[in-house]
Amino acid sequence: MNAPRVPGDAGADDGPVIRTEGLTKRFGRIVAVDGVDLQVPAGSRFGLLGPNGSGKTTMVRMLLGLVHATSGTAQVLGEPMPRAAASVLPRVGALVEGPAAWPGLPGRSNLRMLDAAGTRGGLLVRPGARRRRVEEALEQVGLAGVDRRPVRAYSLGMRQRLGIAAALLRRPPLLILDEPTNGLDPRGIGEIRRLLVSLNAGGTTVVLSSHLLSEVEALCTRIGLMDAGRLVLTEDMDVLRAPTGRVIVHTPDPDAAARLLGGVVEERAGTTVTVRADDPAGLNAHLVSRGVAVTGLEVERRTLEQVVLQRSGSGADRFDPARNGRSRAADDDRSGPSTERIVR
Amino acid sequence: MVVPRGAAARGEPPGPGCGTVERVPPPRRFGRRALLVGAGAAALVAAGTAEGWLPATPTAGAAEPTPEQLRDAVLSGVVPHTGLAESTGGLGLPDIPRLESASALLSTTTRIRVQVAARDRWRIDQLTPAGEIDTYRLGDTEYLWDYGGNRLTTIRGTAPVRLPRASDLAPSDLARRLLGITATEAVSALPPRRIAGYAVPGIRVVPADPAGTVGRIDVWALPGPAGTPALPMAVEIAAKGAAGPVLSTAFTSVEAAPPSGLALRPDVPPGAESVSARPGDLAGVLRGLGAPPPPDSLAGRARVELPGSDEGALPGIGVYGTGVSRFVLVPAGRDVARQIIGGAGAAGGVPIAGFAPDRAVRVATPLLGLVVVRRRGGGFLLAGTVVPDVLEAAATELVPGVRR
Amino acid sequence: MIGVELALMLRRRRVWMCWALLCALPALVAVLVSATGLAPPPGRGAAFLSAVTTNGQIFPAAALALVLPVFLPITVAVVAGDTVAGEASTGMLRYLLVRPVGRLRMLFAKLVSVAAFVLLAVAFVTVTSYVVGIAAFGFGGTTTSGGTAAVTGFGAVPSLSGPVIEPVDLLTRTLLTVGYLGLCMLTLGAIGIFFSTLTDSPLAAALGVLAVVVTSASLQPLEAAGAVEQFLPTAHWLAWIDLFRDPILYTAVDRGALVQLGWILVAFGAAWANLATKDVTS
Repeated sequence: MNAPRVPGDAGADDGPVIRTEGLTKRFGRIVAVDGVDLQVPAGSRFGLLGPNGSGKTTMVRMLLGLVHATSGTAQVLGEPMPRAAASVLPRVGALVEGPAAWPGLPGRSNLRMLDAAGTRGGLLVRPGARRRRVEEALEQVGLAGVDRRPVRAYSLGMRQRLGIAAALLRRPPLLILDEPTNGLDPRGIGEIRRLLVSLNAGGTTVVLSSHLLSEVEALCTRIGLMDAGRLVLTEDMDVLRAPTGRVIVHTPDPDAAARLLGGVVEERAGTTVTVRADDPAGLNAHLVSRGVAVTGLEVERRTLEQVVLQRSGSGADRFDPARNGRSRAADDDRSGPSTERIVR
Repeated sequence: MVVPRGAAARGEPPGPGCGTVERVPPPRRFGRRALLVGAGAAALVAAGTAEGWLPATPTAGAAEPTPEQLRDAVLSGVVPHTGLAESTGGLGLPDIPRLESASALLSTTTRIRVQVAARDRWRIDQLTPAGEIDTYRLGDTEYLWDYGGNRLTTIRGTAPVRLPRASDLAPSDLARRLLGITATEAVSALPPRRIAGYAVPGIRVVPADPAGTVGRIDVWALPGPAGTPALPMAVEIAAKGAAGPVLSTAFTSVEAAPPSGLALRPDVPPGAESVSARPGDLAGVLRGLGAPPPPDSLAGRARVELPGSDEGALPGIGVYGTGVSRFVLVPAGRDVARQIIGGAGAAGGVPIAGFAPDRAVRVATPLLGLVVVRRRGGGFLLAGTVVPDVLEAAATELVPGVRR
Repeated sequence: MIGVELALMLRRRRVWMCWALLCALPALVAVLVSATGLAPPPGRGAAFLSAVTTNGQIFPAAALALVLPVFLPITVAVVAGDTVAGEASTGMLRYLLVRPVGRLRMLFAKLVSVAAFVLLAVAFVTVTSYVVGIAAFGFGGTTTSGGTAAVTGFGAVPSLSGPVIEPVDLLTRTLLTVGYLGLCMLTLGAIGIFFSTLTDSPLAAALGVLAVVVTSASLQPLEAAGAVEQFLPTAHWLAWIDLFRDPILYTAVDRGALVQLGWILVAFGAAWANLATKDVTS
């Protein structure tokens, strides 16, 4: 297990790259993470999703050995954390709760220092190789041409890119990135997204923690949904986004369409009619053959947003007046008092 | 209790019943590491204070000397030694004008460096954070190096009476002097004490004189091989009726080895001043006062013949009493006397019955008493380790016409 | 990590500011004393200051005595308080730890960098004040004794006990002083590192160190605190003056060095015990 690995090799192992069992963290009376059993398959792009304060960051910190679990176990790359931190962490690239840098140093020096900090012998050992590594990482995140200004003069986006470059320095087989596109403009978001996909194609497992649904939806192959410290859902994106068995028909004559289709119509709104149907092509042919104009036809899929809203409560940064002693009226009431949930 | 949707969907939280999950107890905030550091700190403090708690058992085998033997061993000679001593005076002497250096010496803590080769070849330094004042003794000559004054003073011959100085507080010297003048008193044994890494046996002298202020004198001295002198390592003086010592001095480190000869030779660095003084210079001043010769007895106490001084070397000065219950009579000029009386009044002095308040003052501390009197022809000082009544009686005797 | 820490320290502007200020104070005093010719009387003011007007070569000792009570502790407190808390406040602490840099190894590197800072600080003060002292007061070659000027030669620095210290001997004693004061200041450094692991605020840690210095200094003359006096971190700060006596008196310096080492061990151990189990949430 301690042998150095070739990048991309991590996925070759059969087991998951991350496996936690009953991982729990309490800060005083507050339970930040509550009995999480998480498995991240090798080679996946895993999205850890959840509202603010749902415990994502604490999870990430426990996986990296920064925070010690109150109970439960965590394994990263097949070894227990934090006990095997010394052999695990060199193979993990991480961005935790925003990028950080020594503000007085230029970006290049920052990466060089950071790279040297983890190696025995420090700055003096193989400076040429270090320089190459740093340049490569800067190029990957689009900072290859950056000047010598100190990081304190960097824009938010530049800092973010530098943070990602730091995570990529060692070409780790596992990347754990917390909100990696924070502060980037749309073009930058696209660049980073493409970079992560290409790294993943090369065998790197990417774990992405985010509260941005679009981010996760666009990138991830599998998601874990956290809510109030618990992992409430783990599922492949393909499954989540499987067709619901309904077809949405856009037609200028919804009344005619509804009359024609009768009992299978489930919803009507404006010029759309939602129909339960297994065969969209047949449906189309049926409508057109009966003289109902069809301007558009789509197979309904659930959006990630629907799934998330259905399965999680509001963020822990929202505090509504407590409604003690009353149970929640309905399952879809998700503006429940978060204070109670925290102290549960 | 509100159960959110998420938890409900997930089912029961994993508990001991779940089987697969091992619940470890939460890590204690102050765990083994803190305990380890605490134990280390305690061990360091213990090692640092070992002097205080190690049993003070003298080296096995050597026969414990009797108190009398130990006193004789101290008085039998000088052990060459070098060391660092600390003396603490709790005399509480107020700041009396012209006597500041002596009262500071007896009221504060003084660091003393001791380098002794023989009875008449030694050097004792008073160390301060800003310099030092060194007293060298080479045969009959004394040298005084004052770093602050950048001056070396050479004094030929010794003054029989002078103000106390730091070199008097070196444990070895003080012990020998005190035991010397109480040689006729009874001596008892004290439990041994750890001093500068040695277990040192102690002796106690309780002066018998009811009019003396000295309650006890404790001396701890390290005996050498049989027949050789003992090295005094600590001295404590307590006033009568007082629990703690008013003056204590002890080595913090000492080595029974002679100092290098080089260290005992004073040196005038370039730029420093070198002056000569004679004890007789003081005599000249005293002669100028025209003080009458001291009476042969005062307050019922006989005058002590001062060693090494021909009659009249120090006119007007007399030392009275026996053992450690002694006082000294020193003539002073009118102005000096007035100045001291004024200052002593502010420093807690009280007037003496039979004298006008601006004519005489008495300053009493548990150990040391001081009486200053101003009269027509000049003034005088009486100071010593006797109860104030004795000093006042002496003052009354010296000024005719005063009735108590 | 040690190399990285040293490189980072040397590239911090704050560190150079501290050094510059430390060197500036004695220089200012030298200029004032030499311009006015008014040295404090013996026994008052900093040690050795009364002697510098006759010989500039003793000025390094006077300069050290000047910066020792306040300036040096402040700079050490600022730099040591910044070690861990500063990384925590910029967020670099978590990135160093996941690099990974072992927590003990990181603390040790911090200690080494603080040690380098204090040693360089004391060394810089010594060197600059030697130059300033000679520029302002000369070599002490000429003296006026009894009204006649006499050339006594280069390097005649008197010890506190009178005998002249030879140039090589002076160098040795100065190096010993630099080492001893470095050790004293490293005690504060280790305490600062410990405080720095307790908080994410460098300022709070630095103030904590200064609180320790002030507490220790105010307990020192207190008779009621006599039992702990020997163990106070500031108790032996002036022992280096014994190095300028003749012959050198090592007793207090030895004792002081042991006490300082004890403090460093305990403070560093406490820092390790705290950081090793700490949840890094900054």
